[in-house]
Amino acid sequence: MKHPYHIVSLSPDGKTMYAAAARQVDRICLETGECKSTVVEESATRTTTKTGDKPAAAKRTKYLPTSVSHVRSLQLSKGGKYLLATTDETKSLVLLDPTTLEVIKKVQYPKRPSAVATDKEDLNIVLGDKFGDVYGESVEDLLKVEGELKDEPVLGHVSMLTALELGYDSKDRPYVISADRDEHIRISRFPASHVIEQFCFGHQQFVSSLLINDLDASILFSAGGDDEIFVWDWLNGKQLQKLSLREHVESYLNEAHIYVDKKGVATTHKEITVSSLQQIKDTPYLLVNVESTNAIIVLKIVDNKLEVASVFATEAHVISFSVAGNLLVTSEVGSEGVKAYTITDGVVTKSDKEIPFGSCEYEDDSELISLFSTKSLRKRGEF
Amino acid sequence: MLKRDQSEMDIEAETANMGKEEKESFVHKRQKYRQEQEEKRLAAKKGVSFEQPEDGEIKLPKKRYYRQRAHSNPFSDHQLEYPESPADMDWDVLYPNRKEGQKVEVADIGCGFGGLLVALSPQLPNQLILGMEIRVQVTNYVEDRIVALRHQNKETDGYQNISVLRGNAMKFLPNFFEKGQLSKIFFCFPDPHFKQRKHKARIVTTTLCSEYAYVVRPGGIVYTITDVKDLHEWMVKHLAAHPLFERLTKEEEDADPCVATMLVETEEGKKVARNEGDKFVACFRRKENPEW
Repeated sequence: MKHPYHIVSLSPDGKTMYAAAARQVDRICLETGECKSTVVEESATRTTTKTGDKPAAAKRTKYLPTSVSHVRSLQLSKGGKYLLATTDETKSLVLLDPTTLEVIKKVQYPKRPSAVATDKEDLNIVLGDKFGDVYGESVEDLLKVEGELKDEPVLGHVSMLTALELGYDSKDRPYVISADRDEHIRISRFPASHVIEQFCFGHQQFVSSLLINDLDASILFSAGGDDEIFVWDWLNGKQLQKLSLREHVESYLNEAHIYVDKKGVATTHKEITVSSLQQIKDTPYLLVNVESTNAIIVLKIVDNKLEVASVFATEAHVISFSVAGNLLVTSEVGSEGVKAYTITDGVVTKSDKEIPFGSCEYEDDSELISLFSTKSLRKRGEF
Repeated sequence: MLKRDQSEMDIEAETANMGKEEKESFVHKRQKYRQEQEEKRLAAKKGVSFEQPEDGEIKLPKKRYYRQRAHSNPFSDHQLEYPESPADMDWDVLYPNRKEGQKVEVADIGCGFGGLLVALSPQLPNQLILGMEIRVQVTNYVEDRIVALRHQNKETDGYQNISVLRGNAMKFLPNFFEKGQLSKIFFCFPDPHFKQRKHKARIVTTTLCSEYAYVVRPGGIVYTITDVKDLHEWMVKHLAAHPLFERLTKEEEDADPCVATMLVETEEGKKVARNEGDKFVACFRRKENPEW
């Protein structure tokens, strides 16, 4: 069986698609169909108890959720110079050449990376980890690192870091925007990140996506475990709008959105988790997917307000999607490879464009990675 | 003259020498006591005056019924109540006599059984002082203690400027306080987290210092005290290395009346004094943000 792509990412010109399947990164040229692959993560399953482990350690591992090592994130740097992948088992950031897919550098971080962002010149990379620390490194320094990164973090949350973005003010001064599992969005100077300028308060659940408006850098969008997409004047910590998605996706929600606790008690309402929020470059259109649904919601910015332009039903639940120009690609449950759609003036239609599929084989389901994991960020309070 | 709390005794030895049966009956009594206090506390919150004992006094709470293990994991997802933002916080519940627009300016992080709060109350009569504590039972104790002290001093409106809430300051401090709201923040005898791998759980770390710098205004003071030399050195190292803090000189420390209070009035401070242990103090001033 072929492993589905759990991440797809188009280059801004829409001519190349990058994708991740388990431990492998593929580069597919959409014009020629040429496919290159690189394995960036070592093979290991966390649940296997190593022989020689102390009984206590063995017991601990037994209760860990089954997880197959895989690529956790894959994105092109803002300047387009690097393809950045993060891995879980080796806790690394991998810099790849976007054309040849050669590994330029693999740097191990102290804790598992959970969010990455770059500045617009590709000079600096900020990386947040599951313990809430954020490291800001120049690419130049990163390339000199041997083995594990020894530097101190530039800032830290006492909560898992879930999303990062670099924003600029009207004087072009950079800021780190960091979001965590405890609903916080924090604005700090960069690289002098010990100066916290602002918090954007309003989320009641974890934040999983941050996005600076491509048309107006003073506007930030955010989403996560709440029903709403938030719109911020981020430099002033001011909430401008929150747009509820519930009424638009209600009919797409299913049993995957009901949480059953340890005692078998189910939630009465279905929980919405935004898995991805993306903007079509240089346009007022944003695309959203609610995890474990087959709905692609198209939002439009009209007079600085977000509104729902359309909702498109894909064939199956969307694992990952990416948009560039009028091309939308999705990786969907149960279907081999990637599907293509055309998006024109906020309306999505099926495209007959064929997209080749790489080859990441797996033999049994234990090697299949968890495809819908964003919802696990939701907090279930223990006393 | 304000009436001072009589229950300033250490209870640790109390259950240690008990027999099994005695211990069980104590545990049972504790549960009953806690339940009664809980009802009273809720009634007090709703503004209903609770049943007056025969002597007309609301008694100070008994510490031995509120014991809880000394450590709490700051990283776990406790079921905490915290406001969505500082603007959403209803301070009138905590400070019913608060002047319109008056804000908390002094915070005691990990206030424990509230010794410092009670001592600071008359010392800083015009400032609102908030204790934050992560352990439920300990917070309940301080709350009951403040209710009783307010009641006993109602003629003089004593202890109206102190309050306590259960919270995780490491995660949610900015939810309670605006940028630069605080003029003083206290860290008294924090959990030392001796193990190397637990150091990130310490209340003073380089990255958390940035959050303290956010809530403390320029010129405001961070107070630290501990009886663990290693932790003292750790806190000094991290605060001194932070670009937004500078250490007060020995002379400045000695001239600050809050330092003296912190040395003698905290519960831990008293315990250390009884055991003739060392106490290490370090205070830091919040500097202005650098230009950029």
